[in-house]
Amino acid sequence: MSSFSVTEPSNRTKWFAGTLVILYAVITMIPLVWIALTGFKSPSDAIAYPPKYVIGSDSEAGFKPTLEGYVNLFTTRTRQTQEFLDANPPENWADEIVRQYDMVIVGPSKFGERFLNSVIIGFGSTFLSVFLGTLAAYAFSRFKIPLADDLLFFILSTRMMPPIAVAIPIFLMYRQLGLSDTHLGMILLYTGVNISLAVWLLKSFIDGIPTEYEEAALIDGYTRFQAFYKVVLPQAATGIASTAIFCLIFAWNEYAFAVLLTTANAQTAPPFIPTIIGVGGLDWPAIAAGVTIFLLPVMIFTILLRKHLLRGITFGAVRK
Amino acid sequence: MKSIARLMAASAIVSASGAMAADLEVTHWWTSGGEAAAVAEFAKAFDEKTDHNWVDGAIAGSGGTARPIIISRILGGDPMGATQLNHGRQAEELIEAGLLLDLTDVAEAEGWRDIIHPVSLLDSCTVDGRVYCAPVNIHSWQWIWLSHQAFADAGTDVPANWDEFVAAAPALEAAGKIPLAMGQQPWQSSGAFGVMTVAIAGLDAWSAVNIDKNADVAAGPEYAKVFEAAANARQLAANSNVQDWNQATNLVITGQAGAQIMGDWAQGEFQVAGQVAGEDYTCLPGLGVNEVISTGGDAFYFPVNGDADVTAAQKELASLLVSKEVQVAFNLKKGSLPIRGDVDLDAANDCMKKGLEILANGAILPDGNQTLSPDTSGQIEDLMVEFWNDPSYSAADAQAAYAKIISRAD
Amino acid sequence: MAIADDAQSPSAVQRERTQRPNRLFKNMTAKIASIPMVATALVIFVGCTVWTIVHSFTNSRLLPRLEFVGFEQYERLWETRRWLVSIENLAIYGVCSLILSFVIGFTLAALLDRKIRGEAVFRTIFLYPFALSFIVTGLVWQWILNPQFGIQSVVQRWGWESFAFDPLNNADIVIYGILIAGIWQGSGFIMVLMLAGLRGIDEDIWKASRVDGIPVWKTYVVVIIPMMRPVFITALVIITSGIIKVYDLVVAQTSGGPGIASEVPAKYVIEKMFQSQNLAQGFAASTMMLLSVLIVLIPWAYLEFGGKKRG
Repeated sequence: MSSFSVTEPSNRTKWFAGTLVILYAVITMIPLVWIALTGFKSPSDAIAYPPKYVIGSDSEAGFKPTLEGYVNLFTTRTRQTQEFLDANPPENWADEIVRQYDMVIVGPSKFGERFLNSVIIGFGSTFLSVFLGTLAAYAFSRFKIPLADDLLFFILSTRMMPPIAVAIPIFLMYRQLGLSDTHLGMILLYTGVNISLAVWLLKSFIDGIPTEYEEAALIDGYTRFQAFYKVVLPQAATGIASTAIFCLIFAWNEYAFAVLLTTANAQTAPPFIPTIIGVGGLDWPAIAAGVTIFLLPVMIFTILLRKHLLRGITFGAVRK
Repeated sequence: MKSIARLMAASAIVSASGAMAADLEVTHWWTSGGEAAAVAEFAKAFDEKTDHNWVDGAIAGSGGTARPIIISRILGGDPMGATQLNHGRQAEELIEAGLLLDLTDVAEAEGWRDIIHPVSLLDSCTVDGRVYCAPVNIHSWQWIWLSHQAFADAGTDVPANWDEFVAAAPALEAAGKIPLAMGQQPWQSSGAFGVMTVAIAGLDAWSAVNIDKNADVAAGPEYAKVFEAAANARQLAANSNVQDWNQATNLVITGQAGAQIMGDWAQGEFQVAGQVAGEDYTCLPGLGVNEVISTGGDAFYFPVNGDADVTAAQKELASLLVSKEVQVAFNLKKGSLPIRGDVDLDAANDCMKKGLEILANGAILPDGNQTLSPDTSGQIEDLMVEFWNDPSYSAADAQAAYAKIISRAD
Repeated sequence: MAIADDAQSPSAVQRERTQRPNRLFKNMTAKIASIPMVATALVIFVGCTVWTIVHSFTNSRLLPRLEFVGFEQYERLWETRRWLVSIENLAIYGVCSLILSFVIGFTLAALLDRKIRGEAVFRTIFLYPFALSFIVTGLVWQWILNPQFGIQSVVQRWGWESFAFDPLNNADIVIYGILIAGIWQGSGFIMVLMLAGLRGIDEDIWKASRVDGIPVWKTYVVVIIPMMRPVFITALVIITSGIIKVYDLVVAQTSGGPGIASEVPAKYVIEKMFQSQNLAQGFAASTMMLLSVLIVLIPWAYLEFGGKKRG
């Protein structure tokens, strides 16, 4: 499966294709690099005109890297009088950074909490959608389910429904059930949204796994569940991994439900990041720092599972 | 003496109902420099004068962003201890649904009806004879803020009213200034239009439309003049590419812009920037044409809570917010007017004194939030933000659309 | 016509495979496995959707209530300029982003399929923007497109003094400024799907087309793309779902401005419901959005499944 579809591209074709790919990669990377750099700028460098993009240089386009953005991201600060500042020397390096604005750190910000919520809800719902999705996909693939095709199509189509059309009834339902603004509520909701895609991707993947081994296992006296668990699951691992990546990305980035259905306890990071405010407007370095940190888990998850990414969908997507 | 006795009685009621310390989360959207300094006064007083703790729940963004979050928390069964809202019709249905604490006992014990001035503020908190909120300040929209530096740079005198300002605009433009600073958020567009209406169409026409919802007046000649003037002002604000109101105020503070139509909360920004009224900037109530102010403002609401300790803390906070000392400390920082006529505001600056004087003369009108439903206000905001930003949208078309909204208003 | 035969055979084998176990394992208990998913779909999507539609005919304000007022909300909706602008923007954004995502995604996949060295690295790079939520993408592009410290000033700095690119402050083209951000975010993901599809196609097909002397581009259009139909369906569903709910991108990039030039339907719904405290108006608007999804979905479902049953 890892073979290339075009068997022998000429050198010229390869060179041409390579140039275009690199060009697009650069376009893709510039904003990401920009964010990463901005996280290490001071607020005034971040919005300086002309823009500064060289680390540490003394030239006009250079800026001195600072951890200010990260300090501002993780702390809340308050302005203090000169007497207070003189009487209380800075306690640590982070305190020292905020002192240049006559401020002192008074406590942690909510970013840590929100980030943790994102991790719990994102990974929780990914696990649940993949778990339930695999079971359902297996059932759809191996058993005669009445109207299976129509049902699958219907389920997939629910993904296209605008989430706001169901937000209010869900809000009211959750209030009755005591699920509003809870981790469990959000995990269930994102699972509901993601499971359609999970089943769709996994069913076509499992369709591609030959049934002979299972049949043999059943003849050997395995139960149906054992056959699924010991024979099918290991073979489906690749498909499950790639499905998990997509489910995680969707749950990780979801904004509308998060902003409408959660407030204090279970709010994830996306609604929080744009509200980081500094003195007189958005605190760009802190936002950039937040974005960088927020991107890391998904980046790591994607890199860990990158081998499965392509094969996981290759198999199924084409063979119907 | 009488009021002191009442006060004692009130604190007796309050302290009798529970003595345990409670953490009270208070949500609000006061995040700009001057606002944050003002709200810190509340927190300080609450922490120092009661056994309870103020847990600050500032929500970034304007009221438009914060209100849905606040309401959704109250409806979703996760209420905060207390919250800022603009009193008026925003909380109507929450009260009907029984989600907000009845403060009538506190209000009666302390005689709010006698001390709160103008009393219409308390009326806005009252539904079926019961009091549900504690007003904390009076905000009026009817101000224009003028930068002395900008006019000096342009070589003209600081205008004394709207017409002089319009006349001076070409000089400002020639000096490379933005004549009129204006943020692009819908509530700012809609607010500035409201101010121009009171100044240009006059109080009667304003009342006919905003209180009696008379669509014929909205389509009539007085309003046509307002729309013409607004279309003209739109030209003057064309180069002001900022979003937030305080960014626009900052253009005036730094002398990049000549003026801004904005409520009295802008004053806090001038104060934080170290500017002095009369020297660095001038404020004109009613655009210098019609010296009237609207008495909108902020109030605190207290969601119903099962915990008796929290309820006790809520009532203590309500009484504290209205108390003299806290009123003075808060309003001086916020640049707004106190809700009681019996406090001493010697420390007030020129602009606040102008406001206090108008208030004392009774030249007041209700705020749009009190007369129009959030739905109607929302439609007007949609219309105004389009009108202010689209030069091809003619005054006549906008007026027709406006009259239609008023005809459906409730 | 060796190609056509080849294309048919795998799916024929496949059909045989799936038919056999169906007869072999008639196991009721395993059907239970699919129940959670079906139940979610029914309760959340059908139940809540019906609830929303019913309430769109009421005069609900802050709290839902069943006082019916007929089509009043819909009449008002279609008289509202902001709604009409929103629909127009969604149409432009939708059509452009559908076409561009497919074209860019497929082209990139086809290019990467040319034995590019370090392919795995590029694949991961292209996927990163997708891992950035719309709200963050919107913020970043608001900033990159900011005339004072974004692209415009960098290019001017390099010596092209008259360079002007300020889409977010121009009402006529602001929606394209949003489109750029949307494409940047989503096309990498489509590329991965397309590449997966291309890899799933048998090498023999390419060999056969080479033997028959068919040019490469024609092989793609006539043979490969039709074979990748399931991939296209998956991609279509994902892109469409992204288009319909576009909200966070606009909120972060322009807040609907300048004026109302970049408003979108989802933003209208959310603001009417939560800021204007007029739930019923929001319900009516979201019902119209549902209806537009159905208008696309039903004919497609008919073609996809109605046709197959007859055939």
